[in-house]
This record gives sequence, C-alpha cells and structure tokens, in this order.
Amino acid sequence: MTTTKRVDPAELAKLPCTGPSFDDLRGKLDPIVARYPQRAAALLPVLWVVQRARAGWLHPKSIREVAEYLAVPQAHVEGVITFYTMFKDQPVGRDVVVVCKTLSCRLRGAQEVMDALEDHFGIDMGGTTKDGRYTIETGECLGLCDMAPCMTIDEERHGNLTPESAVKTLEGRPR
Amino acid sequence: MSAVEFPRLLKGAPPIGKRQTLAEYEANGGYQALKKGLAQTPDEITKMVLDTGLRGRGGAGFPAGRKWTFVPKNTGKPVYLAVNGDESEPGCFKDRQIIERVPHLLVEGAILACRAIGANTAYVYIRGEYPIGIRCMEEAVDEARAAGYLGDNVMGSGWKCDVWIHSGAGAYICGEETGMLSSIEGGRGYPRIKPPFPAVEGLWRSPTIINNVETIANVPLIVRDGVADWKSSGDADTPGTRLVGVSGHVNRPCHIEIDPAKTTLREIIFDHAGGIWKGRHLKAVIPGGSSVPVLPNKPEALDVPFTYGAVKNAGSLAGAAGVIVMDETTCMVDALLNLMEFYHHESCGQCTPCREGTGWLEKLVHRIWAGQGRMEDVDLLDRVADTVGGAGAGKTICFLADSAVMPTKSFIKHFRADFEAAVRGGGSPVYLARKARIDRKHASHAVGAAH
Ligand SMILES: Cc1cc2nc3c(=O)[nH]c(=O)nc-3n(C[C@H](O)[C@H](O)[C@H](O)COP(=O)(O)O)c2cc1C
Ligand code: SF4
Ligand code: FES
Repeated sequence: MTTTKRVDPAELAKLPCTGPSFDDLRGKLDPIVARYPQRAAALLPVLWVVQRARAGWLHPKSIREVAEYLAVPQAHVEGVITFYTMFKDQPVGRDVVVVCKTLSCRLRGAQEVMDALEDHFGIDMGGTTKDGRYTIETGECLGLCDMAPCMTIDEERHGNLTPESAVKTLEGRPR
Repeated sequence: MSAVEFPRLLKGAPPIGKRQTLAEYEANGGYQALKKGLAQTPDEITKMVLDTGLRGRGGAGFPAGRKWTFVPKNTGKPVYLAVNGDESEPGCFKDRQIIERVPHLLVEGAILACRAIGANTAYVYIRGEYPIGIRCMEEAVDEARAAGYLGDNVMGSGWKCDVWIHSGAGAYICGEETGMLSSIEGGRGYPRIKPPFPAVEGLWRSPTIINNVETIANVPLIVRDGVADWKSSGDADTPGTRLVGVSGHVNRPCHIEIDPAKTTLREIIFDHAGGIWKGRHLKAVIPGGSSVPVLPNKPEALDVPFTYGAVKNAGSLAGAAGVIVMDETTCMVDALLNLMEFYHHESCGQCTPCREGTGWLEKLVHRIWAGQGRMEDVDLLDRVADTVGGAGAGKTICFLADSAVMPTKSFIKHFRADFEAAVRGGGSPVYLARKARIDRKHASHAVGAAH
C-alpha cells in the first residue's frame, strides 16, 4: 500500500522519457517475444526490460511504444501495469526500497523499522526522499522470512534489520 | 529399512548466495535422470511418478502423477508445462532454495515432466521479487541449452524441448494456477473459472500441466534413483521429503529438508529452529503458510508428524510448509489484522464475496484492533467469515477468500480471549503502544488535506 502523491497525467507526459530509444531496445526484446506463440504474451517481460532501461518507470511514451510493438491496445498495457505492484507508471527514486510489512517480519519489528525510516527521511511509506535517491515502499512477504525483518533495495537484500541498521544501510550506500 | 541420506533435494547445494553450476550439478549425478528418461517412453515416466505417490508441494497436495494423466491425447494442440515459482504465500521461502541454489535440478525436472506429458515447452513462472532467482534460472537454462540438454535435439535424441523463465511483477494472485496462466499470457493475473481445467484448456487454450517448483524438482530424483528409493523417506500419506521454512519468534529462523513422517511440528520449532526466542514460551503456530488455520500450543497440535494427514487431524494443514511461530507476547488481533490487510490487498476483485468480503474482514478486525469494537463484534466477525469466499460451492472463482477465512475462524476459535481483551481494553496492546503516533499522523494528514 502506498500513499505516494501521484503526478497529474498531463504533467507526466511533459517529463523527459530518459534512457535508450525503443529501436535500441529491440535487439533485447525480439528474442523474448520469440519465446511465446503469441506476441501479446511477452507483455510482462517486455515491460520489465523497458522499465529497467528507462529510469525505473514506464513513461506514457514507453507505454505507447510497448503497445504498438506488441500490437495490443494501450489501455490493455495500462491495465496490466496498474495490476502489478512492481510496474511503475509514475517517476520513482533512483532506487526502490521495499520494506516487508507481512506477518513474519511484523513479529520481529518491521513496524519499528518503517517508523524509523519515515522519521529519518521525513516521508511517509510510499514516498520518495527529497534528494530523489530512494522511493521507500512497503511490500507484502518478500520470501525472505528467515531474515526478518527485511527489505530489498532493487536486487540487494538486507535482513535482521533494526531501526538503526535500516537507516544506516540506506545512508551508507555509495551515492 | 536403509537409512535415508539427507538432504535429498538440496544434496550438494551451495549456500544461499551461490548457484550450483552445470559442472557441479553434473558431478553430483545431474542430467543422468534425463539420459534415463529419454530411453523410456513418456508413459513410463508418468507411471514412476504415479507409483511414488508424489503430492503437489504448492499447497493442495494433489498427486502429481494423477494430474499428468489428465492431459487429453491427440488433440492436435500443443501441450504446455507451467512451473509455479510464484511463492508469495506469507511465511514461505522454500522454493527459493531450489531456484537460487540448485536451479539445474528444476530445469532437469521440467524437461522430464515435459517429456512425460508430451510437451515441448515449459514456462517457469518466478515472482518478480526474486530477481536473483530469476537470474540463476536464466543462467541455468542457458547452460543447459549450450550443453544440448535443451533445444531442438535434446541429448541427440531428436526430441525438442525448451524451458523459458517468465518473471512476475508483484501480485500474490499469480500463484493461483489459473491466475498464473493469465499472467503468462500477458494479462492481469485474473484466475479463471474451472472447468475447463488447465490440463484440458490452459495456456492459449491448450492442455497445460501446472506444478509447484518443489514438485517438479523431485522428478529427477524419482527417475534417477527409482520409485522404491525415493519412497524411503516419508510415509504412504506424504511420501518423499519436504522443504520447510520456519520464521517468526524462533531463535534460528531457517529452512530445512525433513522426512515428514519422522519429524514433528514440535521438533521443527524446538530442534531445527532453536526454540522460542528471548527465553519466552510458544503461543501459537501457523504450520503451512498464512492461509491455513492457526494452532495453539497444545501437545495434540505439536506432537504430530509433519505429514498432510497428521497436520490435518491436528486441525490445520501442512499446506506450503511455511511455519510461522508466535510467542506468548503476541497479540493475536494484531497478527490477524496483518493477514487480513494482506488478503484484502491481494484480492483481484473479480468476485464480490472475495472483493467485498476480505474488506469486511479487514475492517472488522481493524475496528477491534483500534479500540472501536463492541463485544458482539467478535461473534459478528466469526459469522461474517462464513459468508466470505466459498470457492468450493462455486461462489468465487478461486480460493483466495477462503484462504482469509481459515485464519480468521481459527484465530477466534483458539484465541478469543485476545479479541475480547482488545474490546475491553480499548484496543490491541500493539495499537495502544502506537496510538500517539497514529493520531499524530492522522492530524498532520488532515492539515495537509486542508491546504
Ligand atoms: C491464492 C492462491 C495462491 C497460490 N499461490 C501459490 C504459489 O505461490 N505457489 C504454488 O506453487 N502454488 C500456489 N497456489 C496453488 C496453485 O493454485 C496450484 O494448486 C499449484 O501450483 C499446483 O502445483 P502442485 O500440484 O505441484 O502443488 C496458490 C493457490 C491459491 C488459491
Ligand atoms: S476469489 Fe478473489 S482472488 Fe479469486 S478470482 Fe475471485 S476476486 Fe479474484
Ligand atoms: S513476512 Fe517478511 S519476508 Fe516473509
């Protein structure tokens, strides 16, 4: 559950769509499409490639280009993006932090970790730090319950957190 | 009876953070089963799996060999295998052990399963939250392809087989088998009405067999070592080993591979996981992942072997073997609220008794948690739970809502005193300890909204 302030759709389109051009991504995308008997099936893996290559979110232009590439309606692409929590249709910080809020982590202090991060960065869960470095979200069980309470920073995993170690981890990463 | 060597699935597995390479897997007997399997007919492989009695490890425990026989013959359509590595059930992290540490075992299992059911393509669905696991599987598949275990001519047999990794993107419902199919086809992860069953009409309306990661990872062991050897662990009810994850209030949260017939829930908690942390006592345990009934600290609940049948007799389910342990200080209202938030958030919204019902459950528990509850709300919650879900009676498409009902009913049944105390005492102790912060936040948001 996030409480991020959403950017107005008209404003979103005005933001720059950074990263490689769609033509530059085709070399990576075509072999993925070939894995499926129907083009439309490649939507999730294609969105992943585009999101990763282009600043971690799916700009309206990216959505248009993906829809065209897979020959599916743009509304379908939008519908899929909004269904999955890991696809972003809004700008995010340079790294996305997900703090697990589910039972095994809650039992071992996840709430205190989230409180500490909110207080330290002065944001609510779901928000982005003022320097644009991190978007800090809550997530459901990350499948790392043996290192509860835990969080992921993109592909990094951090476990057995305390409120102090969580803050220190985020502040201590190379800028 | 010969002593069973442990572990079996994780034999030779490197520690977490390291992936077993193809060379290491081969040195450990890897791809010998495939060699054997290619010399057998598909029906012979299916028969072996049938004879072991291997039951699905995704939660429901359906016999894998039997499911495979449901694929209709000669439909003229391709057949698919879909391997379920969504593993999003709270408390479960067992499939990740296979995916990250011994991915070739899963690849070999998928190839053998394809061979048995007449498929030439398998999709392995892995949750998006496992980027490391996805990379491990991609690398394993690439290695297997380069070595000729995959591709147009598997080990020179002339038979074609490919395995592709499909990454999810954050949605629990994609673990439901037909939700997973919708997701592989490129859509929202909406579950589908059964029948038709996926074995008849699955991916792209073609016959599709869906099995859990751990289920498929057992197949190479069966083919390589034979039925009798494989069955030397477990019992008639739950043959084979089980991977179990233990988390919550234990000294050593861990995953283990056990002989389910020879290991009790008490041993899992107190021996393998080192007992309850901070010198405290056990209050409650959820044995099979968040969707199954909670058990109280009673000998008749704990001193039972970890088989499907025995845990069921004890009043719960072994499910996907995610053991969540709670100590004596746990407020069960707070724990249940956490689970209800989860199910409400993860409902895909197609069916009213689930979309609305999980919301009611969350609201009612929240009311008690936040000190707004009345004494009659405890019974109300229990009664409302009876109206939520109902997949078995055709009221909902899938079992997600029923998965919220099982914890609710059992939490009230065994821990009613916690709910009544929360009503009487102005809320859950967890709420009361945070009340000042919650109120402060509400106030600042109200100010923010007024601007
Ligand atoms: C809401 C819901 C979530 C599920 N999540 C998973 C999952 O993450 N992994 C899994 O293997 N099975 C999951 N299942 C069970 C699958 O629907 C299916 O029974 C299983 O993948 C079949 O494989 P098996 O027979 O080998 O166990 C889930 C079921 C439901 C109702
Ligand atoms: S029961 Fe719930 S999760 Fe399952 S299909 Fe219906 S609304 Fe979706
Ligand atoms: S509950 Fe937090 S990782 Fe599983």
